[in-house]
Amino acid sequence: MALDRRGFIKSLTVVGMGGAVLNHRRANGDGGETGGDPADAFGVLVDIPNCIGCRKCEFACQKTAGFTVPPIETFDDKSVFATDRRPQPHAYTTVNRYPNPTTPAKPVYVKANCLHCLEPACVSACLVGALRKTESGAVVYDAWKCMGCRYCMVACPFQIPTYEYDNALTPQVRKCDFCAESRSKNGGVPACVKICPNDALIFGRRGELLKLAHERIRDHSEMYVDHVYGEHEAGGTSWLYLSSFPFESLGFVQLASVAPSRLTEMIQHGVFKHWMPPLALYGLLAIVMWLSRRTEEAEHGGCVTEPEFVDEGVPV
Amino acid sequence: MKTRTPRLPSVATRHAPWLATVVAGSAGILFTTFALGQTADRMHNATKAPSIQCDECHTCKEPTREASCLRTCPRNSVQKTAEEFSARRGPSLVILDELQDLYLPVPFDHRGHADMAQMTGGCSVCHHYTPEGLEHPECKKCHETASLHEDIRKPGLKGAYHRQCMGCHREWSGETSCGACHQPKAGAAKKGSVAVLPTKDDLMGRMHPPIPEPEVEVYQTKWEGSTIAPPLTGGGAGRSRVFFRHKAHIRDYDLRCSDCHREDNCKRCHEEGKEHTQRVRTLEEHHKPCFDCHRTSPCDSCHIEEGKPSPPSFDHARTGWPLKRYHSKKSCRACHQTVPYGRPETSCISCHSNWTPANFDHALTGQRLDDNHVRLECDGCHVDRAFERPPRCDQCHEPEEGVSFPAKRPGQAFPSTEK
Repeated sequence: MALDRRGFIKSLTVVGMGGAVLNHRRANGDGGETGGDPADAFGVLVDIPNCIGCRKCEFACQKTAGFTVPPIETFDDKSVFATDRRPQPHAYTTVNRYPNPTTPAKPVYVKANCLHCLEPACVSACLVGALRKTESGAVVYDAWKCMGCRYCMVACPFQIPTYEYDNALTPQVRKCDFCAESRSKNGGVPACVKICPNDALIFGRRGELLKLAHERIRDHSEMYVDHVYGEHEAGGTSWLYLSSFPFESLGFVQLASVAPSRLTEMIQHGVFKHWMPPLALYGLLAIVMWLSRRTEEAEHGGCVTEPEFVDEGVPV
Repeated sequence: MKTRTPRLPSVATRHAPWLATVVAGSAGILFTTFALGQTADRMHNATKAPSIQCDECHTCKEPTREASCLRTCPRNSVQKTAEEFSARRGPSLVILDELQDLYLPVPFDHRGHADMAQMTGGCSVCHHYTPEGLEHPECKKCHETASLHEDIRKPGLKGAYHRQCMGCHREWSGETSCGACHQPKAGAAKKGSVAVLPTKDDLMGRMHPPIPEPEVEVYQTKWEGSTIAPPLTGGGAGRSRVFFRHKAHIRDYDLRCSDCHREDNCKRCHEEGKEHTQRVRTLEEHHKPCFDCHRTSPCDSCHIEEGKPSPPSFDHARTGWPLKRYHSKKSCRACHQTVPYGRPETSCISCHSNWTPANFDHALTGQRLDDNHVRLECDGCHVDRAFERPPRCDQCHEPEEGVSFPAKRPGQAFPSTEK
């Protein structure tokens, strides 16, 4: 990147000013960054009861992302399920095993990866716009813009973004990008969906998937709990989950239906509304001045008047 | 199912003459559509009257071949797999090679599965959508091979295959590793690599041996008498045997395989995780299938001392209801609707509710009615339609000493031929 530090800061300032304008519009309810209808954006419906824990999604994901992948047979290793695994910098998705309380022989497998929120907290937290929600539904990352603050990692309610701590010079934030790059080139479905042998992952438009999810719950009430995880959680996510057991028992966090970024942005944008910061700053300064003057008066004011008093008093 | 082809000419005449050229041009298309319509008719069994309504399968009013708008699979309400398919009629070995990519084709032991399925739930356990009277359609006829299948409500071919297998195997063996069925292609990651396919003989070697259907199963048991029955062999020199007439249970007693084998799966015979071992069943497991129906027992009603003849087969007369000319032709289930067969309602009208004086030959009861009585309604004599109780003359006639049934009969009596 042929851009020196000074140039970068300059462009940052310009972009920042533009961004401030955009953000201001957004805070006023002018629509999100994606613009499009979230029902038209792509998503994936994860039918948890159909997941057999084969871990082929892990294989396909690593292969498509261009990482060094061990032979496919190594993914048959079930011993990894002994511990709960989070996504790693070079493994954007991991499958975890949970006990099945009704049929112990059939454990429950849950795939963890970025849920591609409709209003992503990571995007909101990113200072430099390195993370972005695209119209197709993916939350994508631009390593060039990233400054490595890792605010996205803190902001994500699902604790998905990871960081290449072992890379001293060019570390990146790593997370599932919904195969955005490979799909934009070749079309088709994300690698994990493509390889899933049991059709536990269904790729489609979010609106259609939601309809399908509710149909399944209605038609097979004995099989599913009446809850589509991701329909409302954190303001809605592109990845949706159907389960036979309560989601809390499968490691899913319970979240409000309002995106976390709504609250933080409301406070932040509210603070900057109506010339608030300069007014507050100058008001604060005025108060400080007033106070210091008063104190000064209390200290030296006495001195100022005292001499008069003293002057008057000395003759007395 | 109507095809939409007859509509087009009417559209053409109603609209502009220029449409005529379009219509002429589309004659070929029409013909093709008609041909496709024929295929659809074949699917819909056009030779017989349609047995189901269109909306049982289709969500839209006018489904076409291209936009069939089929409902979510499996469509339980329209499972029409005929049970006439027998396990042995299908192929022994099916090689699933439609989608090979990372792995070699999968040899599927169809015969072994069909044997098991016939015992437990029939062909429709897997062949969940076979229109009546047709051969099972190939899976790929409905399930798309593309990974981005257009219909998100229907699994793609890969999903359809795997769900059929994993649905049961997950629970029975807990085996979900790909290697259990698939052989990875050597160097599969490299495109264009050639892998050596096992020969058909190799694959046949992996097949399940045929599951025998015994005529009579003789169990040589360890039981040597008990306190319930006197010791059978006086000193335990010999052990008792149990004669189980397996074929008679199906042929004569009209039981379906699933009546006894409904809970069966691979675990019945095999230890979990050890597919080639024969599992030793517990005493309870051995007895359960018999006890489900045969609730009366001292042990020696089934366990026969060695050297003694096997017990006679079942005689319905022992139940107090000997089967005569007509009833002996009936299948057990005609009267005993549920398994285990219990004591059904014995009054005539519990089954023969549709008999009237016009369609019932009273002579069958051993009493041919005279002209006066044959005209009467049934309940004219059989008060409250209680046919098992003979009517009394004095219900209608003036009471008279010794003139009631059976001393006096309204017609000609002769030995009854039927009960």
